[in-house]
Amino acid sequence: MSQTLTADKKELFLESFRVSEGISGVSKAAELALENLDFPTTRDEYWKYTRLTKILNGRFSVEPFEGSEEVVSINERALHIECINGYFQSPVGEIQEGIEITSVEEVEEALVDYQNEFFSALNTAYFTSGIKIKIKAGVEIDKSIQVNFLSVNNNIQVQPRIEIELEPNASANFIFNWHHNGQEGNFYNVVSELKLHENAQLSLHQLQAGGDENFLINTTQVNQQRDSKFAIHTISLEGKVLRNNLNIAVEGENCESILNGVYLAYGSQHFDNHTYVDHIAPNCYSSENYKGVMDDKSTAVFNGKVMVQPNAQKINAFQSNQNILLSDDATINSKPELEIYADDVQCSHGSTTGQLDEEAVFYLRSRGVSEVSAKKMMIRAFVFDVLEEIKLESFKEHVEGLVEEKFKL
Amino acid sequence: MLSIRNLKASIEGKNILNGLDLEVKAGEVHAIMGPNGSGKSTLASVIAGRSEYEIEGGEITFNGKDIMELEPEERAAEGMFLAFQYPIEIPGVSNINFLKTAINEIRDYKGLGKMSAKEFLGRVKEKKEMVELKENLANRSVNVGFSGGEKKRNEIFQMAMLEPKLAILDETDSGLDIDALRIVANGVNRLKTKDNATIVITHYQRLLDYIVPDFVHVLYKGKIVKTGGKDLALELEEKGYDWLTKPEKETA
Repeated sequence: MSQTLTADKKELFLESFRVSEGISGVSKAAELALENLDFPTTRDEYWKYTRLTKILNGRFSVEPFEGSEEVVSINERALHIECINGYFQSPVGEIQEGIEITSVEEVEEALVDYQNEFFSALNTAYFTSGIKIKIKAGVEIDKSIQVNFLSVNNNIQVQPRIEIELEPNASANFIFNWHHNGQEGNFYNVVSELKLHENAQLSLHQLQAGGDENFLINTTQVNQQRDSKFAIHTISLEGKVLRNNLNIAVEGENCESILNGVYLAYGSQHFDNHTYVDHIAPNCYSSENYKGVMDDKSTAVFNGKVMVQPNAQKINAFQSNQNILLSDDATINSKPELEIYADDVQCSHGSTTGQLDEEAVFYLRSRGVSEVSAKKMMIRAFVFDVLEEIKLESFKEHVEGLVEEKFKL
Repeated sequence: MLSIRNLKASIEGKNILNGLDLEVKAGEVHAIMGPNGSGKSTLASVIAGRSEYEIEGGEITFNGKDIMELEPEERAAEGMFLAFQYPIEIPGVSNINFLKTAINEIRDYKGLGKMSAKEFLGRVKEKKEMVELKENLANRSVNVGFSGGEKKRNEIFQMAMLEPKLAILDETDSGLDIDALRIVANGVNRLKTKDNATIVITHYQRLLDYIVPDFVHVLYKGKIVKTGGKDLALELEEKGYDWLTKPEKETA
């Protein structure tokens, strides 16, 4: 009964997406996959703690946009690309030699698992607009590339698709900045595919502050070839329902993968981080550190899985998730997972949840620091080591300021 | 300066202080001694404003001002300082940054502007030397990785930085070897002026060889049962507490 109901609802939901005509190739295959995929519910293990009913019941129109909007620049020297209502605009700033930016009209090859993931299929079939950024072999991009996601209408679907490819020995810093312009009820379903060829280095900095009345499903698929280094820093601050699906396939030897995250939630915000590191090749290092602070009735989910395949010997994999609950009504569902099929590996994982150390708060107050300042100091101190890992100073400073201001306390 | 009258306090329904009186004037050093469980640390906590304790009666005034309803930070701003028996480790919070915040919030409370960076750093340098705090400790996370002696020295350093009118040292001597004890005591003595006062809470007479008290009080079952001069401490060292507490036991 309820299955049928959900199926009907899925059809209604999909109606507002089936506007583009004559899709073909990979997108057509994704559309076909959508036919057979159920809309995810909490009965699915992958979505156990994240209720998507509000998305399912929403009707999201497509609103093409051309032009520009004022956005806070995190790094003024950066090359800026605005994505408004899900439509990429022309880059602003000097395009350094070795950067190739093209628009994606048709998906040639999808790295995301659109056969099994509903939202990956949805984006692959009906993405609003796509962009491909390629960094040529051996080129080191010294300015960062900042992509701003924002919208200027209400109740719309925002489905951009980004392909980033770093050719051998290339390196670049990216910033993905979700910016709020006051609009509500929007459904962001973003897919990013990141390819790192041999010895490439890519750092992606994500700042998710796209408004508390908007939904965000953000799927990032990373493929690493040998000797490559990938780092991702995800700072989640705003969103009604915010879900990051981060999948890293480490296909080559001698790679490094760093996954860092800070999520700070209050009110009724719901933040969910699902990460998956798939160690396919030997001699690699991965390190994951996610920290969260939840206040009021907010909820957070952390599910981090590290897979070590049978041939992936000499893997060092570390994973840690730590949480602080500021209120009795806040919730965290934390599940670190290790699945190891090789015998010569070093792996560890851990998860902790606690409260602010009241003794420490009293200690600071007894020196004359106000309660609010003391708590802010403690929260900042708690996430300090994650932020310390951010090498892009402008982004780090920007985020530090936002972290301090987040909680009213 | 500090006036405590008939103070009664409890924690989790258990009475700890049972009508305590204490009068401390500017320029004085008071020692509060007593056996374990007599209420020494409770007294320090209640004066500093720890919220776990329930005040059942009595009053505490500081420079004529009722402080019972003040938050811990307001008491600090009024000029009180508590040196902790067990200083807390706070990873990620820098000693210097938090002291800068503390000093500026206290100045704000008093209606003064922020202290200049130059003046602040000057004070850090001066006080660090005064309490012989190792160069690198000031900039580290609060008490993290400090030895027991360094933690206590850091308490005295913070006290020196904040220049309180009344300092309460809660078992500052516990866990200190004789050299550390001497350094801590020297720091306290150097900070002493005719305008400020010190309350030394201790279990042992040892510390009082270095910080010489004007008055020694014996706390027992939440009350001060005897007050004397510095010789009383020596007498306690020799005879223990039994001779003072026995009559109490008989009436109980």
